[in-house]
Amino acid sequence: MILHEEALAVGACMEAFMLRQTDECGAIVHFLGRTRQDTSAPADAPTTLLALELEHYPGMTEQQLARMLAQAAEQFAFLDAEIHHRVGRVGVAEPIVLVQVAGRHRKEAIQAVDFLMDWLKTDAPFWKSEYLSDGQRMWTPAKSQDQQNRENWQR
Amino acid sequence: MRIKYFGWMRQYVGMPEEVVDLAEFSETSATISELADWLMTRSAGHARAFAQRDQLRVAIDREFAEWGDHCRPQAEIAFLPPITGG
Repeated sequence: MILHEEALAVGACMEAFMLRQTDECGAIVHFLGRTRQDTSAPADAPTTLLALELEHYPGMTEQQLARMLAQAAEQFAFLDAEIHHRVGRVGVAEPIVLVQVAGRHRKEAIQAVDFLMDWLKTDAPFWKSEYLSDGQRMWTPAKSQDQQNRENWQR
Repeated sequence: MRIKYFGWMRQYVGMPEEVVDLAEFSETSATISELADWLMTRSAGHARAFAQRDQLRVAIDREFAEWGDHCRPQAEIAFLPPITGG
């Protein structure tokens, strides 16, 4: 897994991942999460989102992401997996996270990507704050749905 | 012990980290919960940061931990608001 302080070169990351796969690989799934134009400000507030700021816990972030990849490898028989995540300032419509999984078949690749994203959203120590057009800066609230999505994998 | 704050915890406390001597607040072994009780007395910002403790998670030496776990003299203890990555 790789943390990026600058903009993700998505095409280059995807191509590099694809090119290193062996002939056994029949399926590659790339998931790209982007900054969406949607703020935590009240619905009637005349503001738009300018950018997100992503902070993290150096040392623990890398450890947790490596652990998630290892857990996914135990649960799904995929061939290869990789996570790229931004830190620092990310503008609207810019990539935040790229999760890629290679498998013999599509099922394990799709499921592993879903698993990794659900775990990342609850257990990888990142925190988002929002720069709004009225000059405010707000912490993005966590979603209870993220916790539910993660728990669903444990049933 | 090195105490680290992230997200809105850091904003309320007013600093990203501070060093605390275990002996300052406990003669015997103390839990993370007891550490938080003591940290709350340090400033109004600290009190506000820990006011909604049920929202927080804790980490000891970069591993998720429980409020009932015990402090260790050289440990790095982090107080983490709800995660919002991805």
